[in-house]
Order: sequence, then C-alpha cells, then structure tokens
Amino acid sequence: MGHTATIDFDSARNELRTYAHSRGAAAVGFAEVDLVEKFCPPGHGPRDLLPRAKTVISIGVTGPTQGTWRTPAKVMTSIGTNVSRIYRVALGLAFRIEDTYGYRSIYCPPHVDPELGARHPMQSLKLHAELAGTGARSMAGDIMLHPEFGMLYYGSVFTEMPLSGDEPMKDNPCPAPSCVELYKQIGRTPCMTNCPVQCLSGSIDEDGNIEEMRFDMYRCAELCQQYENMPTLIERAIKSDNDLEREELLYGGESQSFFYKATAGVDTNAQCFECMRVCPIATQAPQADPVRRGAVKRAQTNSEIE
Amino acid sequence: MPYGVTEQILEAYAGIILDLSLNKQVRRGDPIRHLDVETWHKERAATGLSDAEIANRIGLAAPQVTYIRNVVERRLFRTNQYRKLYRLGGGKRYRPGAFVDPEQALAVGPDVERLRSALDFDPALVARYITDRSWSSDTLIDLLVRHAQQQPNGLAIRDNSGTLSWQELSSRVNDISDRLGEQNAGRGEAVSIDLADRFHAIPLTLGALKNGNVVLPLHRQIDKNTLSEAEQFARVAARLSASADEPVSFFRSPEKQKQSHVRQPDYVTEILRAEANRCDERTSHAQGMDAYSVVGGDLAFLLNANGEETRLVSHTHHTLLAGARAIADMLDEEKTAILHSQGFGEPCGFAVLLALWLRRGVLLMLDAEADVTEHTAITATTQKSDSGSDMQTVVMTFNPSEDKRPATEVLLSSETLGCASRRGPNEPGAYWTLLPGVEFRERENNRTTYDLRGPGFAPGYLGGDMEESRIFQSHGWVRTHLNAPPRKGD
Repeated sequence: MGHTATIDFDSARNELRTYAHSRGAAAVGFAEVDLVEKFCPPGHGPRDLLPRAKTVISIGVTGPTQGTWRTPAKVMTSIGTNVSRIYRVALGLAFRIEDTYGYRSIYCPPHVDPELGARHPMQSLKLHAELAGTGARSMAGDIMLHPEFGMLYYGSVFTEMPLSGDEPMKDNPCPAPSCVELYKQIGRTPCMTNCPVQCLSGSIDEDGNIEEMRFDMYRCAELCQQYENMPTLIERAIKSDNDLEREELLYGGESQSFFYKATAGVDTNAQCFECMRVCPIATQAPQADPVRRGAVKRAQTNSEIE
Repeated sequence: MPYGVTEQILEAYAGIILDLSLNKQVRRGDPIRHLDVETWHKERAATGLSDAEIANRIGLAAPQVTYIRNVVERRLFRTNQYRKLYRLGGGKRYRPGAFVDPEQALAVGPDVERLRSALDFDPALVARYITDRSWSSDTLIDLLVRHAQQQPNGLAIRDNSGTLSWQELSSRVNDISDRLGEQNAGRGEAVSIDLADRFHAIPLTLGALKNGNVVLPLHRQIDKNTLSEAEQFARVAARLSASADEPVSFFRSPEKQKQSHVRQPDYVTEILRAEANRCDERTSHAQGMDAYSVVGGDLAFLLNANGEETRLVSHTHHTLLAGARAIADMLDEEKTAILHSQGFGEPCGFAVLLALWLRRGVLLMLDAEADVTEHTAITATTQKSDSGSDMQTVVMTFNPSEDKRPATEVLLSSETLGCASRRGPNEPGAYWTLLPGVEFRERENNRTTYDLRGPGFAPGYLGGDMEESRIFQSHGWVRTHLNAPPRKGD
C-alpha cells in the first residue's frame, strides 16, 4: 500500500538507525514481531496495537547528567528523567518510516493501560529492548542496562515494514564484578542494600550471573508512583472530621507539589533513583553520562586527526 | 458492589491476586535474552501475570481481578514512604532505621490534643516575646546537654543520697527517656512525678521532658496503687517514682494499658506482617525522638493551681525559661551552688527551681549543709494572696549576700512564673517591683486588684476551668493577687 516499490531493507535499517541516532538515540535495535509475540502475554503484543506490524524498533536514550547523580534524591525526582527525549526520537522515527518508505508505523505508547490501572502497561518496552539487543535485565527490578551507556530510557516503534531483527545481548552487564564481590561478602548487591523500601532481593550464582531476581513492585511503587497517593489524600480529606488535618491533606506542602507536578507536566514517572545511584553500570559505564561521552568523542576526534 | 465483588470475596482473593500479579516479580536466569521460549513460559507466573491470565487461573472474571488488584494495591500503599527521598542522595544512603516520618514522630492522640489546646496564647504577645527574645528556642533539655558537654565532670546534684555529675545526670536522663518510650508514653503525653525523693525526682523529671512528655509534679502524698484526681484529670500515661533501691519505677495508667487497633482487612495485616518479618527496617521510638527533639513551644509542665487537684496550669519551655530568666538574673554569679534545703513548696516552686538551676549550671544541693558565702540558698514558701483572691502564691526567698543586704523575695504562682520581686520583705516600705518583661495595668473601676502579663505567664487552665475567665483575661492579662500597685523595674 503506498510504500516504495523497491527498497533495500538492509540499507533502510542502517538509514533508520542513523536517523534515530541523529535525533538523540544512544542505542537502536530491531526485533521481528513474530519473535516478540512468542513472549508477550495475550492482549499485550505489538499486533494488539498495530495488527499488521512486522518489526519493533527499540530505542534507548541516555540518562541524566553526571552532576545529577550527586544531587539529593528530592532533586532527582524533578531532573532525573529524560523520558521526553524518547518521544522526540520515537515519534520522529515513526513519521520518518511512513514519509520515506511508505509503511504504516506508530510510536508505541509507553503508558499504562487505561482499563487496568497505573501498574499495568499496554506493552512491555523491556521485552522489546531485550529482544532487540538494546538492553539487558538487571538485578534492580529488571531495570534495563546497557554495557556502554548504562541506564537508558526506552521507547519503541511498531512498523509494518519488514526489517530483520538484531540479536539480544550476548552478555548481561549485570551484575558488575564489584557487585558480585559485595554479594559474596554480605549476600546482597548495592541495589538491594540501598533501596529505601527494600523491594529488591535475589541471588547470584557461582559464575557471577543472576540466578534469581525478586522485585516487590508494589513497594517500589510507593516511591516511584506518588501520583497514586492523590486519590487517597482526597479520600482522607473527605473522611476527616478535623479541620486542620483536612487543610494539611489538601493544602499542605506535599499535596501542593503533587498538584504542581500534575498541572505543570513535570516528569513524574521515575521518582526514585536510589538503586541506580549505587549501580556501577548505570553511573560508570564508558558512556553513561555527557562527561564520559564528551571525553570519548574528543578522544576519537584526536585519534582521527592523528 | 462493583463487578459483583463483595468485601468477603475481595479479602479471600486479594492475596493470591497480589502474588500472581506484576506486583511481585521473580525472574530466574535470563530466558528471554537466551530466546528460551519454553523456559520463559514455565516461569511466566513467577514474573507476573496480566489480569486476564490471573482470572483464567483463579476462576474469577478479568474485570473482577482488575478491581480487586487495584483495591489491594491502594490498601497496601504506604503513603509516607516517598518522604524517605527527602533525606537521601547527595551522599546519603538508605540505612534501616534511619528514616523517621515526621508525621508519625510528631503525631499526637486525643489526650495530647486536649493538653495542647490549652496553649491559647495571644498572637501579638507571641510575636513580641519571640522578637524581644524573651522566648528563645532553648528547652530545659538543651541546657542540660550544654552543661554535660561543657563540664561533664562538674557536680550537678548532691544530697545525702549521693552526687551526680552533669554527665552522669545526662546519662540517667537518657536512660529514663528511653524507658518511657518503651512504656508507650508518647510525645506530648502527661506523666506524673512523685517528688517525695527529691534527689531522684529531678532525673525523672528531666527524663520525662527529654521524652517529650508533660510533667505533672505530685507534691502531696499519693496512693501508690491508684491515680490521684489530678493525674486522672491530666490523663497521665504513667507515674514515675524513684528511690535509692529502685531508681525508676512506672505505674501505668489503666486506661493507657488498653491497646486500640485500627482494624485492617486481614489480608493486608498478613502481608504487612510478612513484610515486617522479611524486611530489616526498624524505627525505634528513641530514634524518632532524636530526629524531632523537644522544642521550646512544647508543653513542659502541668502545675496545680490553688492546690486544687483539677485546676492545672499549662507551661511550655518558653514560659518556664522566660519566667526563670528574670529571676536568674538576680542570682549572684559568684556563688558556685544553689542550696535548696526544704521541700519544693508548690509544684511551681519546683519547676522554677529546676529552670533556675539549669540556667546557671551550678551544683544544686538538696541537703542541709549551707554556707551562704559560697552558695545561694533558695527557699520556697506558700502563702495566701494578700488581695483575698484565692490564687495561691509562692514566695522564693534568696538568702542575703556577704554584705548583709536583706534577702530578696520573688513572687510567683502556678499561673505566673515570676512576676515581681522585693528586697527586704520585712523592711519598712518594702514594695513589689515588676520583674523585667512583666507589664501591669489597673482594672477599670477597681483599684484593689491588678492585672499583670509577662513572658513567663501561662495561657490558661487545662480544660478551661470555670475559674479561667475570672483569672485569665483577654490579650494575656492575668488577674493577680497583689493588693497594691507594683512598681516598674529599673
């Protein structure tokens, strides 16, 4: 339907990869929808959103600046995320595919399923990333990590364009050697130790690989999904028989900040970074932050000059 | 009844739905990365199922599962956990027991609310006393800590029972405070102190103050097995007593021994109990108090007024220290100790003596030895008001100094911690002079009684006694016992 008659799909892959990088992506990978659908729960595969989808393109954008990791946690809740950059890359990519190659494409919404509530996504972007080789699941609640870029934020594009898939990562960067050492000493990794709600636990095998990862997501949500508080605050205000308590619930500092974030559109999806703050991969991967990436670029430029 | 789900059905299935949902995820190995579809599907349930998959397993409809799951998630959601983020990062890491939720640490129950409702100060006076620094941020405990740091080996208290250095006193106070915490005598709750053994009563009082309690000093003989009328009126959480044989003993209020629980749905209780067993997070009461220690605006004492058991006056650290400061300024700085050889007189005498002593940071001697060249001797006697008012007054007498100047008297009552002083009460023409910060006015159309107000004055009686409107006037004025106009200080 509308697509260009003769396409060199391998060249197209490269061109789309280059385009995504130019828009700000750090990692770009492809996965065939047939493969993705093998792992999805019913109703949550790419074809449930785009019925004739053939390819999933996984995009990862980098995390915060190096300086951000040094700030207090309540500062990171405002400046720690870069989710909006994904939209720019993924949306642009979907438009690019349709405009250049004529294949129907969508930017996969990274949002919750409106029928199911705040803890149920429509699609698993982690699954796309893992199959497309842009990330691997970590001990920290399956947060996806990249050996070169550390912690990435992910987005996906679904397209009817048939593109060959990449391989998943051969090795998982998690756990890092230092984390394995710590685990041998105290039975816990840094992420497990430093989680403020203790939602992480698990085990590492003798080869230094993840044996079991346990994640109590409902505990993590207490830090990461503060917006779930809002109906509770309102309910308590309605039920309270004390005027001062009602004023605190509705007009107190914390309530005000919830409403501010909601109306001002400040990123609220990831409000706790404590497991990543102590993760050697997230914060010390070779190109984890702009300081490191700048140094790499300068080194490359210098070696090219030489 | 949304989706046909009753409370009973919700409770019955809540646990299994939570376990099977994405709320609890267990991943073994890396089957997806290894493209091991078979293993992945075997492990699917552990990694978290969709609502439709859960419904299929447990025999409910998918919308019912969604509804139950959302309700369970909300009921388990602890709304105060994100506050931990306010104290983390920037070099600080999470550690068990390190987080103290201010809302919990500063929460008070209805009995404490009742006590604190008596703090009905005039706003203009609050602003004035803070601005002119009559009220500082110090508490009695701050003064104790300061002395323990500056002169740890210096003697603090002495009597025939023994001596305590400032450091020893501070340690004993901390211990008593911790033990009160274990007795569930929370911040702001009243505790009574048996003053029979003076040497031990002081650490008990300071321990209670450090724990954030309000102290009701008992100056009359008490029945060890029942609470007095005053203790019942104040709804004390415990009575503290001490002797040489038993440094601290508690008599718990029978009412406070009853535990009340907010009923939670059973599955929530089970899940939280499992969480508590699994998680090594602990927050102790003592840690809570250290994080939000007592402040100047907190209640410190409930004092009997007029000797009546149910007329209690509320004083904060602010008012107590402000009242004592004016008196302390009259003490001879050269004297190295304060001698108090008699009973404390009325509770207000005890409270003021404590404040005077802590301000000066000298030795408090409670035995009979006296050397007026080195010590300031203070006695407190109760007397009826001159004016016929039934406000009971206490006169604190400071002994004469080396040059044989006449003794100084300070007039105070439970309502007015320090209002006037006079030299040589037996001298002809002796008159009362207002202490610094104290104001005076004549009553309209009545030149026989006078109103005073000052930074050491209480805001009212606990429970709004009927006498309150007769004694406590608007804008902080207190109808007093003087029958002659006091003079202003120099």
